[in-house]
Amino acid sequence: MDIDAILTGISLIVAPESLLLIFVSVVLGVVVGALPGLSSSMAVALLLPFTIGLNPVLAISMMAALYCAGTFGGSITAILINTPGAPPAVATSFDGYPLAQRGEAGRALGMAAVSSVIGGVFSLVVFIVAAPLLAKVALKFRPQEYFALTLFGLSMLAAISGRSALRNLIAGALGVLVSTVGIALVTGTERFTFGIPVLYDGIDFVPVLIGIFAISELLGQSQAVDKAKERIRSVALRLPSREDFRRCRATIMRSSVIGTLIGILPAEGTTVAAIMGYNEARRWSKHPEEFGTGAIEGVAGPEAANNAGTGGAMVPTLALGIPGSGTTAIILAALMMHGLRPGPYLMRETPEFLYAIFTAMLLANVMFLVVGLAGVKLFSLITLIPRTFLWPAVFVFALIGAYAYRQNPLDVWVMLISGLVGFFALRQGFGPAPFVMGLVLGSLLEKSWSQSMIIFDSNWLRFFESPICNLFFALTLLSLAGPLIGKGLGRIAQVGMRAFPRRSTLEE
Amino acid sequence: MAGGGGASFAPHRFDRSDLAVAAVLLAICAVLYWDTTRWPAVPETLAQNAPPTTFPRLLIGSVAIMALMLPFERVMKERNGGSLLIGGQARARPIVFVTAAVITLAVYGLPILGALPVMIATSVLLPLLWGERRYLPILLFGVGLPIAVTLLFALGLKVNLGFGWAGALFR
Repeated sequence: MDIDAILTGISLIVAPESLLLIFVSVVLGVVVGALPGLSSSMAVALLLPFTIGLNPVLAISMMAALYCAGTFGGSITAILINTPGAPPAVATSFDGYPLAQRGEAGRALGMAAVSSVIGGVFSLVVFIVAAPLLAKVALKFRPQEYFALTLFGLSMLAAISGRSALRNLIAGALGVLVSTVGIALVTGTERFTFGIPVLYDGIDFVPVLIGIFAISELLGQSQAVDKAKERIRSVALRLPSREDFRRCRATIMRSSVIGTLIGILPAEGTTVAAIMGYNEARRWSKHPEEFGTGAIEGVAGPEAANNAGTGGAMVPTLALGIPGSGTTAIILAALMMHGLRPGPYLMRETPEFLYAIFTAMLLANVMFLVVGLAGVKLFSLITLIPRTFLWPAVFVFALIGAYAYRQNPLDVWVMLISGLVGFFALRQGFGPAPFVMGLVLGSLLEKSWSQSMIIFDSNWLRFFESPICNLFFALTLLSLAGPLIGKGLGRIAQVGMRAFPRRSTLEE
Repeated sequence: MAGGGGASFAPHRFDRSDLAVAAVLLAICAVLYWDTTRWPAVPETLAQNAPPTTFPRLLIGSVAIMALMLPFERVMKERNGGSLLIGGQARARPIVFVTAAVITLAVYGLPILGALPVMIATSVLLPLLWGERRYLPILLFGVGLPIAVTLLFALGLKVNLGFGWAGALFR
């Protein structure tokens, strides 16, 4: 273990300025997470232009801290007003809100905070152990293996949270297609520029990210109807009692493992982790009938899982350059914006980077527990901010942020067009996260494909000479055909069960 | 096929919005493919087995195939007893288009008027447009937020806001 790198990484983060910026990111993350409609993906996208002048390590640390805190923040409104501030907190509301209605909001919030911290810290331990190992393996990857890995990452879009696997895949492919706009690096050919000079340099992803996360959501919010929410007033976050902790410890540990593993899978996000965490908590519970009516494990399970997902998602992002979730796709874009090359070389050339991110995320986990304990009453009030002021403020930040990125008015138009297209695409079921993943991974996919073609002398069959390629191709097929295989197996199981005269335990 | 599975094999109609989305995607693919045919030919020595058209055409082909499959996704889900809820079934309300028009005007006006007036205008107009009628908070918000954002970007982040009519303030 490189002690120098560890110490350098830690020293980058424990400087007063860094600590302050991480604290600000944590507070911002909790606020954004708690506000329904505002997501941590959007906040990270809006934060991008602010970080241009910062040290890249600090910029990425701020985003990672915001990501962690935003994931926890969603639970506050999920528990207090039954409106998850962010999608990963949806499962938390199933039992968190009934607990709050029973006058146990503080108990639910306390369990949410502690489970989140445990899940987050567990995933960070996995992150710090797994990322360098994965990077070491990835260093042996040749372009063909990178192509197969990126293809696998994109194929996982078929399985990410979203209602239509096909639409996710189309959005991802369109994102890759958009990444090809501009002058081709190998041949210097203008591609999809339609003679417009400003497209020669390609479409930069920062204004696109701001547009599709902020502007499309703003347009959606413009037609939202204000609903009067039943507000739980007496709130004071309470740390879990020994009895609650004893009851939930197995759930927390199980969800931490599930969340971390789901997070590590390319493209799978914290929402999937939370739902799986909730389902497993119910499945293993001695009192599954209590779920939905205010079971404390129903809060611990999803919260440990969704925060564990954040550390897990950082593993492929930093070790392989393949985002583990929608938000980490933006973090990946930020790495590129700061001129860093995500992937194993980043780890080899600047190992202190990994330790700095680890320290920042660890601190963020501790900070949001403290911030949550101290300020839960305040955060519960932020839902009172009227939509009529909140979203215009988001627009102002998006407008000036898109301009500030390169100080180019064209970027503001790119942001606007992306937002308008994103709004109508979203209405047709095309999610922003798959598109962003395609956009961010597009250049890597094409570069590795081009390099492979050069190596293979255009013989495609040589992809199958590599066992690693074959593994990733098999995983790609599995993830694409997963839903069909699952249905097929389900049918076979049902047919098999019908053959039994009595209902089998499996059917029950 | 008759018998028990009759209900599940009943003819399912394609959803019109799915057909429309598929048609739009195919049209986009057609235009993009046509564009690839206009790109100048690259000598083989320069292309090095990776001509500039191949990768985009592969992608266009993939999108076109998936677009053709799109209408069947809902049919298959419904046939299996599920449903494909993608949202957006209701028409977008007029306020969406008015908001889109206002923000488009703001983007158009940004280089002409400068950052501060555009931010003030949108911070006042959007709340009014969305039904806010508390005029004092609108005024405070409409002036306070743009000034704070301007100070943050112009002084804190050293972003050059010296463009447009109001740019003189920052030059």
